[in-house]
Amino acid sequence: MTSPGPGRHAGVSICGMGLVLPGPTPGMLPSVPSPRLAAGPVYSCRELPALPPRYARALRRLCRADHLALAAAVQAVGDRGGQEGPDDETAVCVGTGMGVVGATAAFLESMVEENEGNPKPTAFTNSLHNVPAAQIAVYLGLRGPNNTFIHGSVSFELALWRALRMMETGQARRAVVVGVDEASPYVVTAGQRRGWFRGDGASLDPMAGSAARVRGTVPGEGAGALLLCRESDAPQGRREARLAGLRIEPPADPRIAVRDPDAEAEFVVDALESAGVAMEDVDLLLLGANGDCRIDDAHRRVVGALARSGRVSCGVFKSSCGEFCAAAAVGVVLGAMAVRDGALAPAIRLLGRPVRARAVSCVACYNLYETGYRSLCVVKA
Amino acid sequence: MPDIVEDLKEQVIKALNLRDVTPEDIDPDAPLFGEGLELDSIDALEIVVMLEKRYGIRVEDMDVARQAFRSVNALAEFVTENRESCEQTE
Amino acid sequence: MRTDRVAITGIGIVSAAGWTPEELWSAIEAERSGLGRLTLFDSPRCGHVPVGQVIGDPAARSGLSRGSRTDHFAVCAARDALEDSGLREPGPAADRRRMGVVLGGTTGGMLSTEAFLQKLLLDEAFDAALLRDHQCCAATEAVAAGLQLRGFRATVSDACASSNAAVAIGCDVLRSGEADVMLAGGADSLTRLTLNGFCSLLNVSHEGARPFDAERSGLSLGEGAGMLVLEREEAAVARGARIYGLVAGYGSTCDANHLTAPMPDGSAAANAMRRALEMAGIAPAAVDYVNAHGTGTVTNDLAEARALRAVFGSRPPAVSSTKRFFGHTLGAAGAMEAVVCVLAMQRQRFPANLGFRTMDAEVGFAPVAHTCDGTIRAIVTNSFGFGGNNCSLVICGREA
Repeated sequence: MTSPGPGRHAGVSICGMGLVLPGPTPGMLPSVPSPRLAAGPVYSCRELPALPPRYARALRRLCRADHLALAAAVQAVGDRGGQEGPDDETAVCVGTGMGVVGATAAFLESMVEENEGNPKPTAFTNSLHNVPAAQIAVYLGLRGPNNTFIHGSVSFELALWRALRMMETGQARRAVVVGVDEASPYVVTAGQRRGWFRGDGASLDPMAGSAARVRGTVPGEGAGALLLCRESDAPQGRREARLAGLRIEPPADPRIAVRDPDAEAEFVVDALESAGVAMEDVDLLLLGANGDCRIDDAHRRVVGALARSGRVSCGVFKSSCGEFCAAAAVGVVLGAMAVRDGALAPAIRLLGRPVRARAVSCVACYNLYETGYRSLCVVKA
Repeated sequence: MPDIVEDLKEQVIKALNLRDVTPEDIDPDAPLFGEGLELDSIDALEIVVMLEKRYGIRVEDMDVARQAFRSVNALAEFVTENRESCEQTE
Repeated sequence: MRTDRVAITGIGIVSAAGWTPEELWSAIEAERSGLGRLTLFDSPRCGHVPVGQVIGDPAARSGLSRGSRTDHFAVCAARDALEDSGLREPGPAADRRRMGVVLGGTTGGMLSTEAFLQKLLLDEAFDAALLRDHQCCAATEAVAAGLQLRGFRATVSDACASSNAAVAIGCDVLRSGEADVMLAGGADSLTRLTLNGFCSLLNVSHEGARPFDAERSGLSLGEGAGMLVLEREEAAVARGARIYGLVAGYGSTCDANHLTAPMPDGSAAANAMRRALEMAGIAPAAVDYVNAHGTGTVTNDLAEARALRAVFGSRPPAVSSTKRFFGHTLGAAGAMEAVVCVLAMQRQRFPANLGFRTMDAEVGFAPVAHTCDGTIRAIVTNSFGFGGNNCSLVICGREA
């Protein structure tokens, strides 16, 4: 699963960004329907972000994931204010690993508890995976193609891939790409039982977990959004971030422990090359490491292999949002912001001192997942 | 009747999660759908669920619902009639 | 030969009307509905409505040691499709990293998630194993693992338009050269969630769906899987593959209007068809057959009829909804209906709009009443979903 060559993506500008991040420390989820479910710890948005006043009526129907996704999309697109007519040329692509868990759970809970007594229509229609994408389309008036990807940890990357492909082939002129997942006691508990999440309440400290041999990460939630447009359509005179390349690779072998770090380093270098970027051009390698020593170790070995041909500046971001399926969206948006602003947002934690002192103009976001999938996304000035 | 009207207003607000609406805001003669509260087809279905839960009235035909759900007063009439017929058959 | 044309070289299906394309087609010839009694689970509220439940043991047929009912459907249909294309054993030279899979689905392993919740809420037991195959992408991974497809993998969930979107995505993957062979399709099983959910919308028929009929009374749910093997036409020709036809175009739009109700004027749905035809380079007048979304609900059928009139004028081509044969299979519907289209073109027969008796003046046309002969060179097949998702495909012969 390769990305197309540099010439083809070179024309895609990131002309809007949106980010909804949870609080800086893990807390407890507010409501838990069964004593068998764990309440936390989890990085969660205690207060959902405000939406423009004209969305007031919509709020009664918005579930958590819808709200997070819509808030990020409105930031990225700017509130169209309902002034402009419908837009046939903008696609909406959403990646979410879990979908609208809360609505699904609400429908199923009442179905089980009342023995199918009074199924709630709104809970059912809200439970569909594509509701966040649909809400974005409805409230921003976007009538272009509308796709939702549900594919574990690469859901966001696939949404991004789809948007790029549709823009290349003329199926869309612009695209709103969103990665979103909501925290839920079901996800937290299931993750704890499977050893993915730890329950000790400690904050997430990616790439520090290795030394302490910490097992498990801390769950989170959030949303990241990009508005992509053709370079020729981008507003002039502003420093823009461009999407220079994207590669997603399914696992050859699903067991992360046996991955060959040299082969992984090759994946990174190859993916950069097809984006027209050399390793030394990368100002920051933003890692999807999540504080679980197994995942952190795997990232560290790859960085070690890459460093043989020159030092690399690395950073992590999951200390700002916790781990969730579509968290790659947070990394890519933070990377794009860094390129636009020439400086790193506080949500990015640098590992060691930066190698180069110059302003950030190229960020590569690299994720290596428990499932064996990996992805690399390159953002350039 | 007046009690049913007041109760229906509260039930509608609760069932439809109309956060910014109070019972006083609802004109019992005003249309519920389209204009006024701007309710839609999903809201109609939520009212169907509410009627069954609260008053034991089961609506299975949306054509019936469309007539009965014109306004809060129309809804109150519908409830009164159907509750009586339920009670009689019991 | 255009280098970016995408050929269909294999088909597979699992449905209430049959486990193979041949079985399904005999049902279509015999005009025999697969709708029947629900026995998969007890449903106190909705157990009485007819459904398109797949008969037989999907786990035994798939041979998978684990996985959801949806996963079993997906693997069975995918294996048959790949076998049909002659690529099941692609030879030592084949690069399996160039073979991928993209599936559409809506509920994945929801049946066992429901069992999980029953245990949790009624017995206070947290049985994490029941959540293992919850996500729709479990089916995609099961197909990739089972058939050793090591390339591109994606799962798309656009409600009832999911698997048309999957076919469109599969074509895009081939056209950009990211894979040489793509299995594209969809799978969904019946679940308590969808059955109760649609019943709560009061749009499930008590006597079985009768799309476009004046006396229609709602939709009927079904389950199953549909799969297409897609390859670039030149590659398919080069290896001497049997080519059923082409996926010549696809178009998708969003109503951006309401979460569930289709736009009454069908304008966004019409645009999806227009975009698909434009990509295919086929004029509306050259379309011989439309496999409609045709769920049998008043809102869908009327909006779709308006969309068809907007695209094709007052005399549309032959139209049928084949949903009464196996029910509305949600995320699998588009791909299963694409298989019906391929069979219709191969046999040059219009499949019946089963359940139609009385013309509805508001629909304005009568669908194909009985399976019959026809000249079929170009087909439009529609899938429209909640969220206002519209996705249309154009399937045609190589000479169309």
